[in-house]
Amino acid sequence: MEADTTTWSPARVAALYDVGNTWLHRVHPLTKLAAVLPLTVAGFAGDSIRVPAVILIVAVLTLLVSRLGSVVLKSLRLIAPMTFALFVIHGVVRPYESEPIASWGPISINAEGLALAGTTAARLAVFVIAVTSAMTTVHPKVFATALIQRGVSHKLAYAYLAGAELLPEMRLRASQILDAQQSRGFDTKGSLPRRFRTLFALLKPLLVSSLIGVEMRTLALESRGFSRLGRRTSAVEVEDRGKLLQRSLLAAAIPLVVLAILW
Amino acid sequence: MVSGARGPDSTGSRTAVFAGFQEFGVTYDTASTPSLTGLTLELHSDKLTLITGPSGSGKSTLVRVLAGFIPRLLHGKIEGSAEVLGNDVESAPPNSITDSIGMVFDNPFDQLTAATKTAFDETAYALENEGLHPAEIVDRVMGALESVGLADLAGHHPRRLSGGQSQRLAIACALAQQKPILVLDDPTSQLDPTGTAEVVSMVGKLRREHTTVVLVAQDLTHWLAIADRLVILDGGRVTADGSPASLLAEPGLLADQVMIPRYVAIWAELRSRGIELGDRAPLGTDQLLASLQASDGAGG
Amino acid sequence: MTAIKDALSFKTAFTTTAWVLIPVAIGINMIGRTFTQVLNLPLFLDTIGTTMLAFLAGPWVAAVAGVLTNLVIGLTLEATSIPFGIVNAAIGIVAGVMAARGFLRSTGKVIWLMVALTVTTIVTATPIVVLVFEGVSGSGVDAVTGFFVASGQGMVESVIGQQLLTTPGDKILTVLLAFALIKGVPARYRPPFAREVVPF
Repeated sequence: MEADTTTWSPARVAALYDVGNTWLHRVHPLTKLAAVLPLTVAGFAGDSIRVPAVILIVAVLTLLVSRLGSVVLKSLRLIAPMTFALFVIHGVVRPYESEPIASWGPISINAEGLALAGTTAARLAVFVIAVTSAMTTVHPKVFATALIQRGVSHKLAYAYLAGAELLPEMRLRASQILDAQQSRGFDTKGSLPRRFRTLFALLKPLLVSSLIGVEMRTLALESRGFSRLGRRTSAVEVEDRGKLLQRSLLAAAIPLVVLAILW
Repeated sequence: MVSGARGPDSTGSRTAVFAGFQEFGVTYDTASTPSLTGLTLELHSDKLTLITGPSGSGKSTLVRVLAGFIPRLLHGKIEGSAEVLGNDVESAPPNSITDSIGMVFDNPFDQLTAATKTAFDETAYALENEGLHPAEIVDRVMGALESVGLADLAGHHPRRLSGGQSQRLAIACALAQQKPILVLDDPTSQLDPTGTAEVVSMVGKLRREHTTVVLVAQDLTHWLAIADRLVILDGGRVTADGSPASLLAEPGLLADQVMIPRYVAIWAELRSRGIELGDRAPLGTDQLLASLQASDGAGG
Repeated sequence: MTAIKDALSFKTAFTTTAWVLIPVAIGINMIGRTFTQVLNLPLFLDTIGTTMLAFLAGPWVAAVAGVLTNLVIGLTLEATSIPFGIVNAAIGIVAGVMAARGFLRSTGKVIWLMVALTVTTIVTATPIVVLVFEGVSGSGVDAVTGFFVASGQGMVESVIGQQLLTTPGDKILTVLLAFALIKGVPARYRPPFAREVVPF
């Protein structure tokens, strides 16, 4: 059984992670993750678009200069549909007391709504770009190793890593089954509930076999020391550093929250 | 015929017993009938013991006891006693048995962790759990992958391996842990012919290097030639035990319990038609051919 | 009954089997999402795995699977799914506790379970959707929210309105599909908790 390389490209398996050696790749994974909190809190603090917009501009420029344009693209892909929905719901659909700034027939655009949509989109974009920057530049195994070094249970790390592996695999296998069905023209016949049934019947063996495989995997993990007590090591050495910086980043969120409340 | 103590191995040499079962029985918590009952058997180091029998005969249960999974992880009612490497299976401390027995299952993929991105990381997983130094992990992993012929694929995603490669990876995981005993539960039953050939030759190589192997197989075709001893289970107990060549000398008697390899069936058929082929069953097609040529030479 | 007790205690619930089931539940949650996206249904079905795991291994294991699902999706695909981990975990806890209390034993009780999961979803998701996302999700249900907003409803009312329309169907199907999956797994492969709480 030679696996199909087109459907199993590493990019599809590792999702966000991009191999590289930029300065951001070299920052300790937990430092990058810790930075998400103060950045996001700062973005949500205050009630104008100014703070999140400044953070965004700085972040995008930094990423572009650092040859990490892919982070910007990935973030954009995620944030675009939300931004669209925000502008439609708040800028166009929602009724306001104030006069619209423009209107064509039944459609009118309101300044207050546009501002709210813009601010919200910018805030979400700060969060998305912070997480995406962190996760694009850390290999999952390095990430898990860093967490285990700081006392996160290796069992939790296992569940995270296995989830991250199974997720794209399940998605891939499911979409292959669904694509195959669609290409046979199934979506033209039958009512919705009926199509639903057919599809579920097709997916069920995949799901049930993954459940039945659990017993064997449990035994295999046991025979490989999953429940063993004591310290874990890692074949990849991750330097344990930046603890003070990471704590400071997390702590920085507190004055920001206080500031936001007082504002 | 319950005769583990008679040491029925082809070489006749006496080796240490590493596991012993005395009137042993298991009834799973989820089952009403026992999977093993009144089983008495001793297993020897530095041998390849081949275990066979019909579906539901208790083969898989037996190897799960041997690997330390029953009754600690798979719960059930135990009768009699079983000792593996000096540990009673009911009272053995966690990991005392699993640390010494390498286990390879029939499904090539379900037995992997599913949490790793490379064959290297997959093999390293157990060693990381042991807390070994990174340099030693790298050494042992590369050594193990080398010896199963997967060193070139160390960076490949485990899911991208073929079934045969995946089974070799599972063997490598056990080798990296330096476990002295390897237990394989029908390791080729879900493989294509290429994968089967890969795994058979790998096990043969390990056997020649004096690894102790316990192997369960429904289809004996590829395994007889490297087996030192054949144990047949039926209804949760041992029904026959001896050297493969002598046990299969009367294949008709075993037809209900064993899938008789074609070369043995042909040998028995020719013999029943009066062709003199000796009274030891052939353990492979080449042995059958050799004895045919010998008899041809004698007759012609 | 010890199996139920074990699954309800944080100390004993996390067996090796539980840890191995968690990633499978994450994968099943993902399949539900893919399924509705491909079929373009106004549903999410992204908690089938969590709900199923709550029936198999109890509330705590399911809650961890719920949080991890959104964390994994958030850290490998879509950062915006992270806050909804709270919803996913709450569903795991409610489904698991109700399963332990015998709510899977009769059709009437299962309907209460569906109601409880719907309420749980609305109560936990609404604050996140309103406060963090100002009412949008970037998916098809935004059209429903937009409809309520256009008719002059406030944002909280619109989001609740949208959820009242889409969540009950989602949760009914989620519970039924979770049942269908468990039914497909032979009893001997089910964890001890499931053997006590699942009636078939």
